Amino acid sequence: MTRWGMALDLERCVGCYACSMACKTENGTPDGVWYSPVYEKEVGTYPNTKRMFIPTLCMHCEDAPCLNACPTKAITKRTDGIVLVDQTKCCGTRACVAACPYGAMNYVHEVQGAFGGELIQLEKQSFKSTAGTVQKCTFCSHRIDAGKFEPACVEVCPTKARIFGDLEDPGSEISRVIRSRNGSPARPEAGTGPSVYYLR
Amino acid sequence: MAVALPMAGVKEDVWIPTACDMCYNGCTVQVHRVDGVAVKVEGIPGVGPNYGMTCAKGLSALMNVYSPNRVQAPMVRTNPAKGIGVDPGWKEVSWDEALDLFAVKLKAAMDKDPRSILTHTFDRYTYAVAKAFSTAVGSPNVTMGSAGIFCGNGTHPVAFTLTASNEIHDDLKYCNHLLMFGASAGFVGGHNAMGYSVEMQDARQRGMKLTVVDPVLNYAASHADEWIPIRPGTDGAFALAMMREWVIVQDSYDKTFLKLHTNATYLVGADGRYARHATSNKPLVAIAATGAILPYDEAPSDEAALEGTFTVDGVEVTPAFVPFKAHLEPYTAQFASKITSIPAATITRVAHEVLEAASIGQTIQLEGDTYPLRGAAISWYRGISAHRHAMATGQLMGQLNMLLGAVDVPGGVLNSSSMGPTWRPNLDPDGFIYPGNPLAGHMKPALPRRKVSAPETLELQELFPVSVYARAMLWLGLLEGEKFGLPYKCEVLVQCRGNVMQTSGDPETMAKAFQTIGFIVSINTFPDETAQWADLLLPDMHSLERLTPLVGNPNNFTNSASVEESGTWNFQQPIVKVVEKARNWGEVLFDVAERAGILPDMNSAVNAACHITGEYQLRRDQKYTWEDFADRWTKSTVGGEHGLDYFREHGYLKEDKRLAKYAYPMIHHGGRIPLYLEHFLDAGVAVKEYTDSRGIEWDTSDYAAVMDYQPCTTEKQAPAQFDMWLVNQKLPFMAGTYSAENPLLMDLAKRNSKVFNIGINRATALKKGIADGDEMWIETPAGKKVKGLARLTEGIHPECVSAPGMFGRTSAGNKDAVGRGVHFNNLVAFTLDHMDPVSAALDSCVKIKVSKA
Amino acid sequence: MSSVVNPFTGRWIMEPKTQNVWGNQHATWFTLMGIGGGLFINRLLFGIELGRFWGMTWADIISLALIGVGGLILIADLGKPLRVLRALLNPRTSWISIGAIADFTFMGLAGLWTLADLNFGGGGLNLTGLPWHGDGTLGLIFQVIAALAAIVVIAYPGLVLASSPSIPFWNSTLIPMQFLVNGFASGLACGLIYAAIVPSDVSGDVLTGWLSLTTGLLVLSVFLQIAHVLNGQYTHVAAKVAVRRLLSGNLQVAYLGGVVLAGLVIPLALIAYALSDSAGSNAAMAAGIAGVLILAGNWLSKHTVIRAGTYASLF
Ligand SMILES: Nc1nc2c(c(=O)[nH]1)N[C@H]1C(S)=C(S)[C@@H](COP(=O)(O)OP(=O)(O)OC[C@H]3O[C@@H](n4cnc5c(=O)[nH]c(N)nc54)[C@H](O)[C@@H]3O)O[C@H]1N2
Ligand SMILES: Nc1nc2c(c(=O)[nH]1)N[C@H]1C(S)=C(S)[C@@H](COP(=O)(O)OP(=O)(O)OC[C@H]3O[C@@H](n4cnc5c(=O)[nH]c(N)nc54)[C@H](O)[C@@H]3O)O[C@H]1N2
Ligand code: SF4
Ligand code: SF4
Ligand code: SF4
Ligand code: SF4
Ligand code: SF4
Ligand SMILES: [Mo]
Repeated sequence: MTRWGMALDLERCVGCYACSMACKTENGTPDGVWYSPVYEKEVGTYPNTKRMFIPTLCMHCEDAPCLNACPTKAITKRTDGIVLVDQTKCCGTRACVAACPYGAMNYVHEVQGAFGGELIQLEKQSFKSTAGTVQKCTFCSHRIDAGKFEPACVEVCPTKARIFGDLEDPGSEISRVIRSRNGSPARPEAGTGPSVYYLR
Repeated sequence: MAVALPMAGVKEDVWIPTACDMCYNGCTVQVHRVDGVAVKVEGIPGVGPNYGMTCAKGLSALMNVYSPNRVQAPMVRTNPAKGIGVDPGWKEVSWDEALDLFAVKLKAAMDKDPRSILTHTFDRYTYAVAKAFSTAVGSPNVTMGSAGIFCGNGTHPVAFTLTASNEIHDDLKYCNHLLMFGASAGFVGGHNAMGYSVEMQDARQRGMKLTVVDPVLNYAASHADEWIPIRPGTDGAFALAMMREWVIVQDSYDKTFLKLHTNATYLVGADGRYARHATSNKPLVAIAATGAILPYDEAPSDEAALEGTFTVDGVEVTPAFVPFKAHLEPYTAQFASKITSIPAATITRVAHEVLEAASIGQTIQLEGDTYPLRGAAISWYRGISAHRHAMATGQLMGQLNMLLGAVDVPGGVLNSSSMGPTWRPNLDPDGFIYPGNPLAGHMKPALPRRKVSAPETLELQELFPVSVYARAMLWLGLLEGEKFGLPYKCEVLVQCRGNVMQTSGDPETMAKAFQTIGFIVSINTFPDETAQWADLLLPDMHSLERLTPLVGNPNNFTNSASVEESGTWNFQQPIVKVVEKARNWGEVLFDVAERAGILPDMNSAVNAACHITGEYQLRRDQKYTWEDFADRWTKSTVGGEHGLDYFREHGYLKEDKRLAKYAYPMIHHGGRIPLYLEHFLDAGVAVKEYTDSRGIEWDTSDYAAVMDYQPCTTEKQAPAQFDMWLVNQKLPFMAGTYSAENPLLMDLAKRNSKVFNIGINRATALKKGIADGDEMWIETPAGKKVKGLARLTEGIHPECVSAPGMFGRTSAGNKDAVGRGVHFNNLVAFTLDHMDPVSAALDSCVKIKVSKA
Repeated sequence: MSSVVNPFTGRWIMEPKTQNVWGNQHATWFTLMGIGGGLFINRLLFGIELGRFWGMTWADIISLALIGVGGLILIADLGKPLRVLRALLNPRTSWISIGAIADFTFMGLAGLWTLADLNFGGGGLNLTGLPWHGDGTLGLIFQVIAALAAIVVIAYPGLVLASSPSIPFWNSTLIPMQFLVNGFASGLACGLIYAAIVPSDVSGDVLTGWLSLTTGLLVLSVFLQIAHVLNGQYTHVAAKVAVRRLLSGNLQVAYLGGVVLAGLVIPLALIAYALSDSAGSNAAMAAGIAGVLILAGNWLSKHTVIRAGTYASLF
């Protein structure tokens, strides 16, 4: 069995937003929707200050609160662990948005383009959003299914802060790095069993 | 994979290679086009200079291309009044009418005085054509103005001096401790932004220590092993104290390097000048053991004396190192601490750490040669460069590296392209290297020094004999040229790709300078602040629409300098056809030249400017298509088998791996680099003579052979209540003003709390009664006042306030950008006394007072 | 409403984030369903009928109307209202699904049962002959199932909140407990208001009974509020942020002034007064005012708990 996962290296991430943008253009998300924000956190006091950059995305939880909260069964978990939303089934309760501890879910009230007004041709062609439903990171399942191994956000990262791979395979790079760096999920106390680990 | 332009109704799904143009790095990318619409930009795995990585700007390029806010058609101004915020009253005209008008104005100016035609661009690739155009009209005035006001003024001259190339890179493959002053290189900023970021993270994982000296916890400092906050404009004092620690206190520095590769052993007299051989005029050195005096190139360098007193022709002389060392004496760590605000203990500790990491004496075996291996390097960029004493401080940075022996050797700072298969540095008669690379680009080498003469150029370049350019002087030259003896005024400005109104001096001064220009042609993609001043506004193509040969170039600074990498050539090819009436601006220059009757001269000048040789040369009597020209240029430069067809098919060309002898040429080229800047002395005298002759007050104190710390002008002038500094830094997801046209990048900027807010140290803010999110005022001694929201942070020097990027736009296609953020440049005093009289940098030191609004 | 709802992505700073998923429309349907459910159960248990209309008790009619309107608000708030029936598909893990099923069950059974009371114009339109009319076996089964559904209807919005590991202040069974107590108290409050408007219909003894019950529920509510605040204060930083906003932040007036003072303390005082002066005509008036305040307090308590919701920071 494969369980796709990602390790995010907080030592490496420099907060450049390349991943956020790669994801946006890969997945054609409407104005204001970013599947992969990169948060900042200042730590320490002057002059011993550091700034952490924390890339995020859907954690593809083993026991996904979004899925549990969804009344319509629009959210499903594939056998490879990828949690997906089917926008044709979602009725737009936003229960999943409220339930997700990681801010991964986006409810889109109205599909808007970046320039306001009418969508430009590029947006018409690349947007895959239905108004009144939710959307989130897909782990680039379309790329995986097409045999293009790395998600868009992983491929672009200039600092190699994102490692993608099979968590079930103990020999995979991701498994090894999680072991050696003692990787752990964010907010483990939420008890959702994320497939995304942070290396600190 | 030759690509045709998209056609309506045709089903397709193609990836097309090209070069990114969202900033100045020219990364190799590929664009996904589906049914005629470009839908995605990506890197090409493994391909340099970016190793397949693409930044947020590059990834979002399509939103610039497809922006409905582009300049759509040629337009003429109907409102004769010009000013900031004044509506030009654009009226659309045909290209034919536009080009006629352009040609008529050009001819009129040529008839009057061809020098009055000024061509300005920060298009690094088409610059050669602009230069040829300028030559053809008969003007020396072609410039990359915007890239020279707060840019590399204090970096390039030193890079040239040290390595005979215009840029230096730290050798991240071998460096173990990098001390970085005022820069963000390696953090998706700086030059070769992507490639360098990859190398930086690998180096840090390898255990390289990074220490960042910067007033702000910038992107580099955020992750550094140590951030050392410094008071702006005081880095020179820090550097001098480090050198004193090494030279005087520890007596530990790379003496061999100094003897073999610098002029530290050259004998100098009491007047500071070299003692020269009576007949050959060569600088002399003394042999330590015997006291024999020999021309530098006849003595065994390693036996030459670094210290001691000798006599030549009855005159007492010493090795240049002696005055160099002596002048370090006052710069104790305590002294530097007072200037920089950095604890003295920190200064000495860092000096020791860096020295230790340098591991002077260690060597490495590479490709059959033994090289010195240095584990430490000092890098610097804009934070050092954009200051009143940019040249002096830049040279001090260079000297730090020289004392460590860390120049052009493994682990040190490296040339970008001084040596290659067919070129190597030239040596001047005093033994110093200067560029031999024919493709080196758009700057003047800083060595050998040039003659000072009455200004011919609007930039007054003639008064800057050791700088690489004097671009920032342009606007003051326009305003005050007469005072300097400039015999003409600017009649026509042809400007493309450079939003000088926003990126150079303060808009009021810039506006006054623009008012002096008779006729302005702006070839632009967006109606930016500069376009608002145009009499004729022409729509340029975007990079994804046009054919541009030779974008990425292994011989310039956007490639990795280290040994394991190879350089990459790339180009831009038309991928989308969006703006119906947009034209490639280079082509427009050819067309206008034809209409003005100077095409033959243009063709000849193009051959020269583009180094087109042999069968590929343009003939004088023929009009070439842009494609034909591009093909010739490419073949002549890269080689016959690699013409446009090759690039159309492959997109890029990777050169062979860089050989060690090119990456680390110091032990190979046999030339030297000046630790002691003797050539500055006579340069200064000449400048003084000229400026005195015109009764102009001109500070030449930085034309010294050894560099001292001097405070910046505001520090000396500002009244005491202006107790804080305003500082500015770049952002990894923004480039210039251009990225504000991109709504996706603007969205990111709005989500980033640092961009549109004013960063202020928490303790300082509390003292001033300012809370997080409060509105606050920033006020300069000149009475300029801006308001913004305070962002309290532990990540800034307590005396500083940060306003990043180039915001506070007054005109842009994207209306969302207008009025957002603080326009840093507007608060900088753009007057002669705030400029570096040596490097022509504008001082970005701004003293301010802040208060709760 | 802003076009994209994701509480995390305003400014990308790692800090606890105020939730922006649920708003006043939710507070309103939560409240309406709570009152509706409470009213139905109280009618069943304590006979709070509020008079009759065409044979049906006003309590049942209002209860159905409130839950119906609440449901309509819920549906109108959906991004895809036409897909509302899909919401019944996941009762296994989704409280909304369970709640939706309870809503429909309640509306169906309580509606049918109430309809069987219809007796209009002395035989013109008379449904009392329906087999489940009154408190016969079938009638009782209908009522009991409807009442059980009503309990779910009152509690499930609270359970939706409580099942969110994302928002620590919500992530507590104290919330559905509050919803239940508030629901029952609100049902009684309707009775108190009715007694003030039509004093002749409610005997002094009955009113005293209602008042005592209400007192008990309000006291329980006070304890639940204190428990929730303490629980928030000491369990999680993000919950603490929520508590701070209730006690001293932007929700202070609504919470301390509205929920606590106007919704609990003053009604308790008024009820105490009414109990002490059960004979006086002011007593009914005081009880009525207390009833109104309890209803308002119910809405405000939902409003404040929703608004106070704060996502825990990832780091
Ligand atoms: N993302 C991105 N990358 C770019 C560009 C871009 O626009 N965007 N532009 C490219 C260009 S043209 C250039 S020239 C390079 C410039 O590259 P860098 O020089 O790396 O530019 P900045 O990031 O502005 O770094 C300047 C730093 O100097 C600090 N500083 C200011 N004053 C002082 C001082 O007195 N002392 C010290 N020690 N520090 C000081 C500032 O806080 C800031 O952190 O970047 C190139 N790369
Ligand atoms: N506050 C502040 N000021 C700075 C700096 C800073 O960091 N902070 N950095 C300084 C430095 S290092 C530099 S190099 C300069 C850079 O200064 P500029 O070169 O002026 O930089 P941009 O603002 O990017 O201007 C580029 C302009 O070219 C236009 N443009 C972009 N692509 C095309 C195209 O394909 N065709 C045409 N015709 N036009 C195009 C854009 O619309 C934009 O107006 O700024 C300097 N000024
Ligand atoms: S691309 Fe990599 S370095 Fe840049 S923000 Fe994303 S994770 Fe961090
Ligand atoms: S991170 Fe959020 S959206 Fe993703 S699976 Fe977990 S709960 Fe669902
Ligand atoms: S918004 Fe859609 S996907 Fe989310 S819980 Fe509601 S129905 Fe399910
Ligand atoms: S895995 Fe794909 S969808 Fe998820 S954040 Fe990365 S690029 Fe976006
Ligand atoms: S660094 Fe510059 S050239 Fe490279 S991808 Fe980013 S914007 Fe494009
Ligand atoms: Mo620059």
